[in-house]
Amino acid sequence: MEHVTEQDIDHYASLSQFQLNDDTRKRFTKEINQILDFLQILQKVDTESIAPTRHGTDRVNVFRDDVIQDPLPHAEVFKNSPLDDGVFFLVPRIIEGEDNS
Amino acid sequence: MKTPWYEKTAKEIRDAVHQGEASALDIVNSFIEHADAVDGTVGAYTQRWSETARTAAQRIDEKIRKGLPAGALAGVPVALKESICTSEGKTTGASKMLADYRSPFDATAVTRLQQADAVFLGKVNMDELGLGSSTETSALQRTTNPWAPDRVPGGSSGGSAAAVASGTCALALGTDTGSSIRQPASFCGCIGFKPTYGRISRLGIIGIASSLDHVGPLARTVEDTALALNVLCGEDKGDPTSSDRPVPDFTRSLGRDIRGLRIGVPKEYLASDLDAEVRQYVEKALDQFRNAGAEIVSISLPCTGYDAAAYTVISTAEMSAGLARLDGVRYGARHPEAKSVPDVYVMSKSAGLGTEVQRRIILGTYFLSGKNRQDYFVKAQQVRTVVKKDFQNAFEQCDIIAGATTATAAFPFGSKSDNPLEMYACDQFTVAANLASHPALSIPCGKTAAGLPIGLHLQARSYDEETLLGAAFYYEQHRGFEMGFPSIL
Repeated sequence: MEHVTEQDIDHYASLSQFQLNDDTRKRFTKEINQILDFLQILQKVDTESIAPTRHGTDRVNVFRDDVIQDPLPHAEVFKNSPLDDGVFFLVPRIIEGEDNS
Repeated sequence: MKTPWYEKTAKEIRDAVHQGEASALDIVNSFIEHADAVDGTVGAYTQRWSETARTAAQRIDEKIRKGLPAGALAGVPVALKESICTSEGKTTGASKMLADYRSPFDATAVTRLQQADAVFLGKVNMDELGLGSSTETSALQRTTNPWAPDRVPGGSSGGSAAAVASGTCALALGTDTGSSIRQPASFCGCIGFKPTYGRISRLGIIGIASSLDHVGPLARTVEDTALALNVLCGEDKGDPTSSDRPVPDFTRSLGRDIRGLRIGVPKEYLASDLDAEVRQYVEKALDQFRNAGAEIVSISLPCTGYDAAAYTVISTAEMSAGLARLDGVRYGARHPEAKSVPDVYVMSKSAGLGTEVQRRIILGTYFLSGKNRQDYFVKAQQVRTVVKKDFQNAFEQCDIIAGATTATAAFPFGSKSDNPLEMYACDQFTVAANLASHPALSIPCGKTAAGLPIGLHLQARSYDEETLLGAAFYYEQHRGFEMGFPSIL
């Protein structure tokens, strides 16, 4: 098992869409390495030919009836939106180009 | 002096309302006034819904006056964890990210309680998004342990446990991904019940790790727990992971003869670093079971120790995927200075989510990246299979597995905040029930010399909540002490 560096933590933070300040990066690096040390215990378990358990439920193929239900009204959909025009959620422009607003 | 309503059980309240001996409004007012008096000290409530609670109580009284049937929890005051969606008030998950979030619908568990004529007094505090064991990571406020104001109430359902223990509600709803109902119940001296995975719908719960998340009740008596489970359990078409197995009347398992019941005590639990007083009271509880004719069986759970490691990997990996939805695009706090879409994500998440949430998401991302996926995540899922098999083997030798809920009683504020591993160790006896999906509860079994509650942890086979409740009820009736109410109140 390996340890992570501050650069690694920055990499995983950026994959998770976080920007860390110096103190937090240092702190996370130390703490996550402690956690990784603790996790070494997993290697002691013989899991050769053991299937992974991926969920808590014992149900398979649960279907709902194929019927149309009332959707949420727009007002309800957008009541928590940070920015919208009543029909769409608005975010800053993604593609640069001619202003057609 | 007559016992005030807020000291009565949910069963007593329900019966009094049904029989017209008391009005739901008087009962609800008693709880509201008590909360006015003590919750300033405890800090369990993040939202108080006193006016809507009174209106709901009046509607129940009206039903009774008209001779209409009233529900199984008529007039019973309930507190809801901040992570449970309600169309009333806000649903914040105790996170800055969701500080203004208003759910468009009620969680199924909430609807079921409402249909049973329970009355909601408001929402209660928790660790941010359920990530924590002390309620210290809440972005909203501090909640203290009602038995000792310098101690944490546990977490993440710390507000639920503190409200039940301080008598500011008769029942509370919590959620439990690794310990979050049972550990705070243990710290606050009440009962916390995590049913079998799927028994209670999770529709409308702010989920963190889908394969491990459960909803469950916290209560002051086993009978109240059974009443709540009767209302809460059952299939929900809106939650495909909810179980379609028939739900028994759980109150019928109370009063069962426990002679011949086999109670397994894992040797690994007693070998661990249990606090001396905790060990003493757990052993005393086992003696009481033995004296009542139960058979105490020494068993082995070789998975003890690595279950917590597997839990750490699986839970953080699932969190890192699931919590990516909190990005400030469709809901949640978008950073006002974000000028681009990447800015919206990074600035909103970095400002809106607390340190513990960020740490676990980054850790989970690590476990799911590249080769780590096989080395950690799949490995942990394989270990989860081993844990399940260990419990299956153990439950061939016994009907109940008993031990301490936590190795120590409630700890002081700040004493573990700087050490995530120590904080995670709070879950060491409880996470296995989440990994293996079987039901488990914490019930008070004593108090330390300093007056802090100690919890006995009982586990049973999947879908065998009845044996669990039967054993807990017997113990409660014969344990030889009343938990009572904290003197600071």
